[in-house]
Amino acid sequence: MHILIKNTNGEPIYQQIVTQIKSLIISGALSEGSALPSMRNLAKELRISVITTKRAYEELERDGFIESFTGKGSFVAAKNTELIREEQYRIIEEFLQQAISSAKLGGIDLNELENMLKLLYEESE
Amino acid sequence: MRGLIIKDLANMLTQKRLLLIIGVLILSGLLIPGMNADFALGLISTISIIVLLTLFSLDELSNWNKYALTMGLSRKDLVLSKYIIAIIFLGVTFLLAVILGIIVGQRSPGEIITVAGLIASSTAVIISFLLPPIFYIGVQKSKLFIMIPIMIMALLGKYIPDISHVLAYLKYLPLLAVALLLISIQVSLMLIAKKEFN
Amino acid sequence: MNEYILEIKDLNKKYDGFAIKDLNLQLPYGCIMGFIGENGAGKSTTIKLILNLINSDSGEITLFGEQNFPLSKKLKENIGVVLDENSFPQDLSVNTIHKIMKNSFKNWNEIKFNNYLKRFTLPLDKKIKDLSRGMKMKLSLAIALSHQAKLLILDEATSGLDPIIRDEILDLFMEFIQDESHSILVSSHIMSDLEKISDYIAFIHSGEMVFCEEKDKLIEKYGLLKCSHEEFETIDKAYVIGQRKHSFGVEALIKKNMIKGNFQIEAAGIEDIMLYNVKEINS
Repeated sequence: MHILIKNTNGEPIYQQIVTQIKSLIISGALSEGSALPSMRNLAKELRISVITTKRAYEELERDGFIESFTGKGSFVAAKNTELIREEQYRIIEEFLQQAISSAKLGGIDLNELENMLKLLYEESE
Repeated sequence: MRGLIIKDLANMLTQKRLLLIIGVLILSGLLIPGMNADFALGLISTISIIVLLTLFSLDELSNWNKYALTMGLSRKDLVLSKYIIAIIFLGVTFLLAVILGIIVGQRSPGEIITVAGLIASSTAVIISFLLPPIFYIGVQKSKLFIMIPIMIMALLGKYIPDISHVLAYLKYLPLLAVALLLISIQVSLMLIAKKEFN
Repeated sequence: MNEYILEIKDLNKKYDGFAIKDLNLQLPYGCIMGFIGENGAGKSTTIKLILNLINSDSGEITLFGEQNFPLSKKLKENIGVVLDENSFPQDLSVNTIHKIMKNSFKNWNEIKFNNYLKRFTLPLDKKIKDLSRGMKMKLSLAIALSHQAKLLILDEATSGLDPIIRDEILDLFMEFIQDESHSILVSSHIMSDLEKISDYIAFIHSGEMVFCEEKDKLIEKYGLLKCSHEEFETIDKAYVIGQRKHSFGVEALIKKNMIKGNFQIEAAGIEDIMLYNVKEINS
């Protein structure tokens, strides 16, 4: 399990943990039912605040990616395709948002952008 | 509290020069024939007070008491451990006075014990006056308090014309010493309770 | 069990020319709190008050839900303390110090202490006066960690130590905090490394608590704005904590979420937050 914290980008650390654990689960690197490190151990290894890891786990649990049992720890929840789709939507939205701002900066209109997307999508198939 | 006594004894052993002087003085009593035994006896009392003061100074130097109070020790432990050390010193003073008396050999056994007792008792009186201010204001500022018992004796000598009258009461000195020590402990405990350890 | 391992309520202590004023602080179980402020801001005085080395004028301090006046031996056993100054008798060896500690703490753990000595490569036969400042600090820390304490209180303990030792100490802190009933209060005027691992930041200035908050919340709340003088004029000053104007623009600590508009806002570190807060108070 790899988690890398970047201090330079403005993204809050708990958010970085959430995103990375989610992608580990979606990619299958973390399979259903596998145990996650305890919040305190994760904080120790990453040398970050326990409150931060706690918040990340709470977020992951709220989003249905993990389940926590007091005394036992946290585990990867059963795969929920709906959830994963939703998460993918969110990620795509984020990238498209970036594409749009770049397009606006370069004076590229929606039509042209759509064409570009179509072209790229077909190329990758 | 045992820890504190170990610390004081270990601290004492590090004072090599002081221990050397004590050794030399005892030896001189042994080796120099016809030496003034009373003078050597007086020194024993002075030495034990100096060693005791040194132990307090070492504590002050490292700000030990402040740290000790963050350990599993109370203010009371700090006071009592020092009085225990003082009482050990009084015992040693008594023994040394006896040994020296025997070596010099000018007195009868009864006299030797009496003199040793008087020396230990008067040392106890001085310590009783000395320790409470040390606990409150430290060694440096407390040194003047040594003068109190000496002044009292001097005044007694001056205003009581027939000194032999007073000497008759000397046998009660050990009792007075014990009483003063007990009062001294109480006063020290009261003072240390109010002290701020900065 | 009380909610907080350490709680200070409306604490006051007056000296000539300096005073701790209505100080409040709450440290929950299982957390690390960085206690920050300039030299002379009142960190050491507060810690001395917590440890009942000095007496407060008014206010209340509770440790493990118990009042600290007087600080019972039982409570002292539960607190591991590292002070900023060396307090061991100079002529004694590490070994003798060990003997003293063994006979002073009821819950002394000899095995643990020996392990720390090995880990820190502290020589048993060396005298205190021959140890470097870092070594003395490590000895002090080894003692604090070897009597089953649940709360660690460190006063400027890591300042002036080299980065390698400071790094080792961070590891020790994180190990200590693996037990959820443990907490650490660590005062320092340098935050850089402690900032990462702190859960809470308590910031004291001229004897008053400026804030005592979750670090993540502070980082979320504040941002570092960089803009031109003209742009700065358009900003509502109510949300500006502190500012530094220079010839080419303005740098200001702001309440991030309150500022509308397209500005360049960077994440503010604890040191920035501390610096600009002090500037504002002083001006």
